[in-house]
Amino acid sequence: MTISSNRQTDVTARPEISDPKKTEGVLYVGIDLGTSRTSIASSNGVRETVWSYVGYPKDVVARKLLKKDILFGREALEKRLSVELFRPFEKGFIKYSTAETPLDKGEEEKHMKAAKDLVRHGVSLAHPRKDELIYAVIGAPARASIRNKEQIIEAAKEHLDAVMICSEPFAVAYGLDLLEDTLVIDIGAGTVDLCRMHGTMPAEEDQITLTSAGDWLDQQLYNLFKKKAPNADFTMHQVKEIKEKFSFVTDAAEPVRVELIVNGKPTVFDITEEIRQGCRMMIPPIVQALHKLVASFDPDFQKKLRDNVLLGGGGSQIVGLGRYLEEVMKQMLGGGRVRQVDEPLYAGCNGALKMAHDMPEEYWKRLA
Amino acid sequence: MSIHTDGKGLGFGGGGNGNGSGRYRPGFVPGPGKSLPAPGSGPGFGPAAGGPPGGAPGPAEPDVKELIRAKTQTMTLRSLERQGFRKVKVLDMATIHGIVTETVDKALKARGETLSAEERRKVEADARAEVVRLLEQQKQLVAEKGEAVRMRGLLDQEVERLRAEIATQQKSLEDARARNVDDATFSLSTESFGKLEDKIRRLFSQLMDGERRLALADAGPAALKGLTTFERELASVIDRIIADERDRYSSREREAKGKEIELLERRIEKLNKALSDTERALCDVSAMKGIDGGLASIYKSIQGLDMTDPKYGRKKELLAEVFKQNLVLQNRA
Repeated sequence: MTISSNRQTDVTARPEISDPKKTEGVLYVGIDLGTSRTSIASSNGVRETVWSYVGYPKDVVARKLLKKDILFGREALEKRLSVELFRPFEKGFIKYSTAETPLDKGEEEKHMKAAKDLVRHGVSLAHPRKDELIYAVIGAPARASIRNKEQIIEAAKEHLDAVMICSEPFAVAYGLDLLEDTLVIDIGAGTVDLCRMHGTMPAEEDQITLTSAGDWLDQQLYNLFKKKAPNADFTMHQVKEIKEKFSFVTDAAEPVRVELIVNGKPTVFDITEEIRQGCRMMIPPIVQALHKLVASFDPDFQKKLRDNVLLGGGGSQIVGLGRYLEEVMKQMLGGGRVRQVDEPLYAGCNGALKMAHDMPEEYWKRLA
Repeated sequence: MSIHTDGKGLGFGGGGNGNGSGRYRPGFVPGPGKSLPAPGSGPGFGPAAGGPPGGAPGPAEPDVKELIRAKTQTMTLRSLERQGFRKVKVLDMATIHGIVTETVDKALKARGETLSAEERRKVEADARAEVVRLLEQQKQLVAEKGEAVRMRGLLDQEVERLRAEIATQQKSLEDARARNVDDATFSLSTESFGKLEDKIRRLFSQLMDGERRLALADAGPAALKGLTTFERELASVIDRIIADERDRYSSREREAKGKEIELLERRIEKLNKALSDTERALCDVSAMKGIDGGLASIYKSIQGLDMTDPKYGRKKELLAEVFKQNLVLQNRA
């Protein structure tokens, strides 16, 4: 009779092939974890952007067909019928259970996993070397809660050697060296963030976050299109695509004609007015927030602030938005100048990258 | 960028990943591998093969057009699209000629050299041959790289699978070790109990005949003593039988458990070996030349603020504040 229960064979012993030591340099990364897009800029010259979608095959059949365990970006959206689709940073934060929106633990964990996978994918787009340290700064919405920021850190720290969070509009301003007398408006899909820069770290009263952002606009446009074409069949994704292609607020514009399906038949609709009307709906909340930030500023510097409004984010690409904002500011505030950042999709992550580069060594080591 | 031809010229294709990155994937559309003829040995282009007028015919110049055509393959637009190419830039032979000629001109002018027409033709021909040779080399390298990247992906997956399998088997092993053969839970099998019962019945049928007991009691104390002795022996037999049964059961259980543990340990050893082999293969593939080990950062050390920055002081304060806020955040976590 053989009794081997007392034999403590070390079955875990095996020759270890360890990860390379990180001695060959440091890769700085700036990340903008947006609701609609995740953008990344790094010190090896890479700049990438990917739609913030994560998809997991629904079943074994889907897994075999897709040949992947996880899909990201446009691919996840295109295969949405076969995957469980997540938008990890919807409304500017990772979903968690609250009194108003209870989620069971399983759902919470799924959203966190999707966020972690998206961050991992974003970092992989930068093609980091295994023997380099990766130090990253991530932009979060201006009024993100402590819990939101902790979640983002939790999502990111597995894939990075050290990570810091900063306010997204602050990152935009830092990247452009506009540290004082500037008001940054970052128009994203989940949130519109306004941030007043006055030479010191923006406090809570210097920042406002609005939820009437890109996704909200999609819903307004959807309602307007439905009013115009009640029998037409279209999805929110189609509305989003139309918005990204044609959005404008100017009085004069070329007609916008799109094909929508009515009873199975493609039919052309002129939606010029609907688009103008919908896009203009975003303006009042922004100007009210702007007014609040300017009016509560030191009176000696209000004019300077008003004349240095910086528009960033995907929403800043709405044609004529800057000029239209100036007109509304003239009525409400007596004047103002608005300009757009050169690279709306990358301004946030560029700023975050610059911050990562400038951060002293001892700070990174404390957080590593 | 990829290079392909539709028979009219060379096309440079933009791959794109459909996610708005706008980056092109380097690579060649794979074509049939053929060795490049040595310069001067194949059909030529350019000046007539008769050589410069008035002189002995020179060595035949390689016909670059033919060489390039031989290395490329015709593809339909649909198959390009399936491979992810959405936009294609087209470059024709004449343009390539022009590029090479211009390059040679510039190089020569930069060196302040003047050449005769014959020498110039030779230099151009050599330059073109070199272009073709480099194109061929590039194609081979990219094909090797593609294969290596594919292998690496497969090995990565295999490593993950083996690690998961090892974790599962280790859990089973731990569970098996934790299961004790508890003597307190010992119980007789139905068959054994039946046998025991038969024995006891036989003994008792010998013993516990009521009349016999009475008769024995009448017979005297010695007879009763004998009865008591007999009962003790009977009890001892029963104990022995039950103990034998218990030992048989325990040893069977222990043997089974031992075998199970041994099997699990052997499986885990095998998986560990497979994992080590796969990781070694992965290292070998990664160490191969041409594998994409990542893009190196331009910084070999930590940078920090530039002290000559006019806003150095302001930025230093701001960064310190960002750090403090993050320290608090991460300490909370």
